[in-house]
Amino acid sequence: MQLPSILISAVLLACGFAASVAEPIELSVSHSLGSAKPTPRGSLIYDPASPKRSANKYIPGAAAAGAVDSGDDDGLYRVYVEGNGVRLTAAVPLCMLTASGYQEQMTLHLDSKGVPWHLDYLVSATSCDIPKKKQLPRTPKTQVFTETALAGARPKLEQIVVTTPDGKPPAEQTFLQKYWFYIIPVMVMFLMNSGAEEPAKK
Amino acid sequence: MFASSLRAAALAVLLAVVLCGSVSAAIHADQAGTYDWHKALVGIPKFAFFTRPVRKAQIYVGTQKNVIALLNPKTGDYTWRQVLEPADDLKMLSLQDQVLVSVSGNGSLHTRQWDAQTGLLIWDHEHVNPPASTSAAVGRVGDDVLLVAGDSISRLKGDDGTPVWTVTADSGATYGRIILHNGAIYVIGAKQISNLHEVSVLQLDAKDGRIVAEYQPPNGNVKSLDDVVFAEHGGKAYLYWNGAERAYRHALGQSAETEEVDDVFGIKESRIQNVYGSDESASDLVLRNGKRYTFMRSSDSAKYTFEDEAEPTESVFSSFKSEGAHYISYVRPSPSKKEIKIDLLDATEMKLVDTFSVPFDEQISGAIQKAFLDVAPSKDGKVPSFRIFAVTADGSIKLLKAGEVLWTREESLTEALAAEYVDLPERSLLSQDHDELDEQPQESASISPIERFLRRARTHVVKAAAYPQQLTKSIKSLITPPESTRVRNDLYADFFGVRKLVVFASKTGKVVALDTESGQSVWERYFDGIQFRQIETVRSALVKYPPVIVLVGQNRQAQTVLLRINALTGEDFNEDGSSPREVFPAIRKVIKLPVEEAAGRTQLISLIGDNLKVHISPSSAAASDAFERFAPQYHVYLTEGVGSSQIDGYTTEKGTNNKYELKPSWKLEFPEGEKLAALGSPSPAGSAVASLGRVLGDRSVLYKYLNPNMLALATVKTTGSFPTDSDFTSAVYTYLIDTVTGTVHYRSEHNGGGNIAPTVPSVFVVQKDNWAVLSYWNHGPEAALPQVEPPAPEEEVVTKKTVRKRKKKVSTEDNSATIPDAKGIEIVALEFFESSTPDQRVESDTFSSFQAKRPHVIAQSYSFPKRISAIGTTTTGAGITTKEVLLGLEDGHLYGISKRLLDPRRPVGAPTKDEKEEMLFPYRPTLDFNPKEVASYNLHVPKISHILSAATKMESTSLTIAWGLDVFCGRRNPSKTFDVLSESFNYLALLATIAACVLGIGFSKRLAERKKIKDLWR
Repeated sequence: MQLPSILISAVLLACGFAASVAEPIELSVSHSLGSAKPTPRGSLIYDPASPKRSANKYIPGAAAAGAVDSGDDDGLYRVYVEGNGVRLTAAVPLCMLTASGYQEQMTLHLDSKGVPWHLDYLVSATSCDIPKKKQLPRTPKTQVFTETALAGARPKLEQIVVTTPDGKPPAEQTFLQKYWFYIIPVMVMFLMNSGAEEPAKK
Repeated sequence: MFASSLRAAALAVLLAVVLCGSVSAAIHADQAGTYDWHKALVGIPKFAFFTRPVRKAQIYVGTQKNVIALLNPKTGDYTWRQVLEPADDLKMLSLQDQVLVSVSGNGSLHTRQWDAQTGLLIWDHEHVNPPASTSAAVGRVGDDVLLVAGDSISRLKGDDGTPVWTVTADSGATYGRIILHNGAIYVIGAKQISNLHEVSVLQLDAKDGRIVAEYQPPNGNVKSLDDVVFAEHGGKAYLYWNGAERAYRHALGQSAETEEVDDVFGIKESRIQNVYGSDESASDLVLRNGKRYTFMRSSDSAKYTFEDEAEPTESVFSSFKSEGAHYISYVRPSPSKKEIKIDLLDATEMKLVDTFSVPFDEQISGAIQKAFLDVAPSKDGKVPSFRIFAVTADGSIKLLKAGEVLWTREESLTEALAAEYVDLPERSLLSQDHDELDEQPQESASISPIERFLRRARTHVVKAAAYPQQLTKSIKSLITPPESTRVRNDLYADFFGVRKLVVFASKTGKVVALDTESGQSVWERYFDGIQFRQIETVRSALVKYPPVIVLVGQNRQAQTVLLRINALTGEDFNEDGSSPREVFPAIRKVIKLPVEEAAGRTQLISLIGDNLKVHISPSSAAASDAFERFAPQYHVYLTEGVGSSQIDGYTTEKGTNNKYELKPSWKLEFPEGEKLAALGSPSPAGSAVASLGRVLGDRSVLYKYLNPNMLALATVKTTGSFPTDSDFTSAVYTYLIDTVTGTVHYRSEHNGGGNIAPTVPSVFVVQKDNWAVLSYWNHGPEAALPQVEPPAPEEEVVTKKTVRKRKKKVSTEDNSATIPDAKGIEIVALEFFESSTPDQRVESDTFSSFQAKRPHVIAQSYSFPKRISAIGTTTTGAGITTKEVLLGLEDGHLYGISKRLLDPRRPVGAPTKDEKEEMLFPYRPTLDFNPKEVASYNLHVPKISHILSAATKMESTSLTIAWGLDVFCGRRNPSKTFDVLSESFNYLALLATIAACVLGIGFSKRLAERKKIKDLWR
């Protein structure tokens, strides 16, 4: 009877270990313009367990540029990230992507289990106009980031900690133990003054 | 050059005054009530008793807002009121033999006995296993209290509420009425059978609660238990009800007997009409035959048929019984709908006393829905005087007497879901008089300079004639103290801009405009069957044009209704040719656009339908043209509101039929388990921001991230239902998202945070300019979600450059800490900057939401000792004055916290020289409750659910209205009144000094001249 439960525990432990030493995850990236069907663009690799930024990267596919070049400038350029049961999408106006010189940024937002739940797709341009003087970068550049929830700010409350050498709370003192240094001088003064005789009546 | 430097110096002085101002800004005792007003309300009555226990009449009410109150019939003011918790739903209020008992709860069930004269609680009994029932009933056996709720019947001791016995009926019926007759207890309920309810009777033994009999009388199908009337004749107790086709009666205790009312009383096709009594004893019986009504005491006694006919929905009957006197009133509207007719019947003599008229405009308050009669006994045979306490369809309550309405309480304000300030027009502005500001270039060119000069000269002459009178008035106002009665009939803006109208729209269909100076109603209207949810000002006040508001509501057919109203008069607005009433199919969101249509100069309203179609109001060609130009930059986000798990973003595009519709652009599905708990509202583009950055102690500047599309929101993720559950965990997540792209700029987790209880919302968000404030309840570490260890941040190679960079970066040390082991409210302040490094900005003339530049967010958190029910912020004209976060507190106060205390840059530990220079307060983890910051001072303003502020012409002053149950309006001066002279300022001394100086100068000048001449002659 015990064998199956040991086996289950072992499997669970193995799964947990596998999760803790998780390999980088690869997701496919596709893109589209306007209402056109998405076409493959490349793949995105991220490592939820790695703190290194270099662990996240975009690898372009073979037929990446076609859909973008043939598009209408007013349309939305949409990026899809798919894989592991997740499909995320985000878009920018095509003209802004062009104006940025294809300098793009993809940010995967990960939940507490490291599963992506939202995609941000932004470019480095602020408008569709390409300044005449500005030289656009020649090679497209894709940055990939991962974001998880930050630990929110909390009040730094100072907890009162009573410490004694033996770790026990100090014993409660009696009234006299606490205030003897007030009481004694008062009593001394009272005793010293009480001996004086009443002046004789004239 | 000089002027500009002078202006800069003046601004610097002003800023210094603002910043150096004390953080507290309390009012003096003699100022209380001078610049503020308070409407103490009770809510729309669910239960009411108009009684005359001795000689004085009293009105007891139990309301939809869970308030129990005793009203003084003379003034309409309450003698006392008890405000129950928002989730403590009042299910029953009973007044028998001057003992007031309430039953309330939601999940729990409390029976409370109150002292009817003082309102003090005598005892409170909480039921251990409360039945899930929306109805309850209370009866009395001797001093003991009988309680029925659902299928449970209990007898509670009258002196302390401890249970004597409890029985549970297994008949499947829900019981909601108790009748005591000849020593037996009858409990009346309804058993649901498909769509109908069957009357069910339970007879109990009063001593031990033993069920003696349980039966369903024949033909007992009713719509609800409210349709069952209890009456007594000839020593027998009867139940009357309207069946599908016939009315029936049943003698209690005789299970197999049901008679047709037609046969008993000899009136064909008779129906039972409800009669409102002064207490819960047996009801009077009024039978309706078509539109004719007959009162009868029993089948064999005399009856009286009222002469006037009226629709059953418009006729209200009430009865009064006291000390042998017995009267019946029959209230119905007159054909003109401008008054009501009241027949007063002496039921002992079966004689009509008289028919009275009372002025009553149904357009303002709707029809009377409930009426309660009180008759003062007359001596020496005169006509008795009567009063009727009436509840009208709009939710207001009135006391009527022959020929007049004694008082009205506008209780519909307790159900107001929206309010909007309306600026009053200036008496005259030269440029507006001549429409110069709105002239088209070609129009300006067509007017010759001479003609323009003559126009202006004419206006000046007219104004000069009125000037002496104005001057006298101004001097008078300087010398005499401010008027205590602030009632003015003219609707013009005052010098300081504190006089406005505030329009409330309630879900009862009532719209009320109040004067912000006096709190008095300027106009009111009632729209039958419309539940209002939103108000938008589409045209501000101009000299020649009235301000226009649009009321958004839902009618009985679930359609969205838009009503255009002249905000000064409350009349329909159709001057621009558009329809004042527009009806649309079900609409998800109504948005005011920053675009005007040329014809009426009103802003456009866009309505997003369920099918994502975009409708535009007004539906004119000019409006369509204006929208066509605006459409490319129109981005919308839609959400189902609190409790939903996603937000969707859209752009607009023209559909196949040349009409605009929404096209999905982004979707934000919160991670598993998270539900939307609170939404902020982005500051609109162009809102007043005094400074683009924060000047630091070392004179460097941190630039504010002023994104008009930034939305702050909070979600809650919980497991378990109640905080007392063993598996209960909770966490609050703060989001900053861009509503154009759906980009998540910031997400933080406050583990252990959440709502106090599922029925008590405690998560609130307010945002303004470049900051947001969030509040939530901390359940402590034991309610924290299990954490996954986050990866350590990437290690940087420490070079000289990075060290320098670190030094320069603004202190944004990790404010996150372990979950405080202290249950209570926590307030988080967030501020967003363009960069973490001072003097660094986004290098662009334009801002774009699509740009890969994220804000730098700083956050700090504080614990606050009071529970919060609403959150808001002050607003000023130029945004120079320090903001104040306004909180509605659960204990009935409107409270202000200066934004300087909610500054996430407050240094932890001893402040550095630069931080001292910046005048930052050192960080303290708690925000103490400062009684001086209670805006509502000693007034009790319970259940604040909304806070709305407006700017005045004084930069220091923000007008604030808080409402929920009561309405409180006051002024807030977070940086003190730096631009207003104090009330005690001695104007006469100033004038006298100036006059003395002028005289002195003249005199010394003369002396000097004389001396000069003398010197020349020497």
